[in-house]
Amino acid sequence: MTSANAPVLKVEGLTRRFGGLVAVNDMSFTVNAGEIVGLLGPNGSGKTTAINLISGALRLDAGSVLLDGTDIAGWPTFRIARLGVARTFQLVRVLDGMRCGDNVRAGLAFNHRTHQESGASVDDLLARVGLAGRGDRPAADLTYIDRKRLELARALALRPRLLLLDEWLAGLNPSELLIGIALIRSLKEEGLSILMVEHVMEAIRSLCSRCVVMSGGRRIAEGATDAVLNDPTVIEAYLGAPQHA
Amino acid sequence: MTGTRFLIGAVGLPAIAGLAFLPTLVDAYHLALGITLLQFTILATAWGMFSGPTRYVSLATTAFFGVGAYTVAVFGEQMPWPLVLAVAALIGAVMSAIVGLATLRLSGVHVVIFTFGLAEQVKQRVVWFEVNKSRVLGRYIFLDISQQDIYWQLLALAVIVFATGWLIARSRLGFALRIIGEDETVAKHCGINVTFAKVALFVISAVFMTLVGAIMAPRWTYIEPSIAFNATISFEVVIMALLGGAHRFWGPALGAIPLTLLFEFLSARFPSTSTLIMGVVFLLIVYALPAGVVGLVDRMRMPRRSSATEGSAA
Repeated sequence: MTSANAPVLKVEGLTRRFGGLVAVNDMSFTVNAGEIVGLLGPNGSGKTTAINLISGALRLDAGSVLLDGTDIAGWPTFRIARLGVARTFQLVRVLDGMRCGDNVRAGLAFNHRTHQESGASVDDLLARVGLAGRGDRPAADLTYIDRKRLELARALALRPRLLLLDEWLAGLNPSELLIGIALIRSLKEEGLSILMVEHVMEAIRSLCSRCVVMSGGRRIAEGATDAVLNDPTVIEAYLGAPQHA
Repeated sequence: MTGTRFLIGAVGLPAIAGLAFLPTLVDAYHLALGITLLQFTILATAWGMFSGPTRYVSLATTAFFGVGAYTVAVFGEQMPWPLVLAVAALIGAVMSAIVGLATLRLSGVHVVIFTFGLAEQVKQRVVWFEVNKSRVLGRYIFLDISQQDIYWQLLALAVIVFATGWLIARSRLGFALRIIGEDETVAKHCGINVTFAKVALFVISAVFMTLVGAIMAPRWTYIEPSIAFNATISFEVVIMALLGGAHRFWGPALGAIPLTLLFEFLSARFPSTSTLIMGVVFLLIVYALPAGVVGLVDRMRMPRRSSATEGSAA
C-alpha cells in the first residue's frame, strides 16, 4: 500500500472567530489514511468548532481543509458530505420520527458514490454496528447506546473517507464503553480514517495512534499519544499550572 | 400496500367519475359550492405539500392566487386559454423560485411575517401599476368560460395535485423533505441539498396556487387587487390544512372540505356573527384535534401497528 501514509485530511491555518472570540486559531494538523487521530483539549477549547469547520457546518474565516488533496474549505455541508466526510454529533442526532432502517437509508440515498458502487445495504450497516434486525423498529424506542450506534450506522452509510466522531463514547457505562471501543477499533481495521474528539482517556490510549491537543483555540501539542499525554504543557492545560508547595 | 393501492383505485376512480358528472345534476348554488370546495381543497393540499414537511407557515397563498387571477385579467382575451394557464404557471414558478431562494434560509416566525408581507407587497405593486401606468382601478374579464368549465378544470387540477403529492411522498425528494423536517442539520450531513429541496417544493406548491387563481378568475367578471389578493384566503388555507393535518399529503383536504361547508353554512345562517362562531369552532378544533384529522386517524391505527411489531420481535 503506497498510499498508506498519505494524508486523508490536511488542515492548515484553520481559523474561526465569533465576534471578538477566536474559537479556532490557526490550527494545522493531518489525519493519515487508516489512522485514528484524537482531538483533545479542555472544555471550550474549540474542538467541536474545529469539527464543524471541517464538516462545513460552520464557515471558516481563514485556512484550508484538504480532503485527499481537494480544498473543501467554504463548500456547503451537503457537498462535503457527498465527497466523503461523515460525522456524528456531540448531542446524538437521530431521526426520531422514522424507523431505524430509514435513518440508515438517509445516509445511503443522497450520496452519488454509494449509489454507483451499490455498497452495503441498510441491513448490513445495522448489523455492522450491532443493530441487526432492528430496521423496522421506531428510532425513538432505542436506548442511549443504540441511538449512538444508529447515528454511527448513518455516518457509515456515506462510505466516508474520513469519519468525524464528536464524543461518540461519552455517557456510556463501563461495559458499553468496551463495546464502543471495540466497534471503533474494528472500523480502523477496515481501513477507515477517523478524527475523534474524546475525553475518555481509556479510549484515547487504546484507539488513537496520534493526538492533537487544543487549548483556547490553539494547537498546543501534536504527536504520538503517550508522548502528548505526558507533555507538561498538556497537563497544565487540563489541570492548571503546577503548585510549587 | 397493494391492498391500499387497490382500495384507492376502487374508491377513487368512481368517485372522480361521479364528481365529474355532478354539474349536470345539481343547481347553480350547489355547483358554486362545489367550485369553492375544490378551490380550497387544492389550495390547502398545495399549501400542505410545502409547509407539511418543512413546517414553515406560509401566508403567501393569496400572492400566488392573485397573480394567477391577474394573469388571466391581462392576457385572457389575447391568447388561447391553455396558453394563458401556461403563462400563469410560469409566472408563479419564476416568482416563487425568486422568493424561495431569497427567504427559505429564514426560519420560523420570520417566514410567517415575510410571506404575509410578500402578499401585501405584490398587491400594492399591482395597485400602483394599475393606477399610474394602465390607469384603471379594476379589470373586466369577459371570457367564454362557464361555471361548469371552471368546475371541471378545478376537478382535473385536484386530481393532478393529489397525484403529485402521492408521487412526491414516494420520491427521493419526498424522503429528503421528511429528513429535513426531522432535523435539517442531519439532512445536510447526509448530502441533501436542503435549499434546493425546499425551493423545488415551494415552486411546485406555488404553481398549483397560481393555477387555482387563474382558473377561478373568469368567475368574477370584474376583479381589482383587493378581490384577487384577499389575505383572508391565506389564513383560511392555513386553518384548513392544520385541521386536516399537514404531515400527510391527503391531510389538508380532510380539513378543507368540512371547514368550507361550515363557513358556508355559518355565513348563510348567521351572516352577522359568523366570524365569531367560526373563531370559537376553530378554538374547539385545536383543543380537540391538535394533530389534525390525520393525527386522529394515525392514533386509531397506531395500537394495532405497535402490537404487530412486538409480535414479530418476540
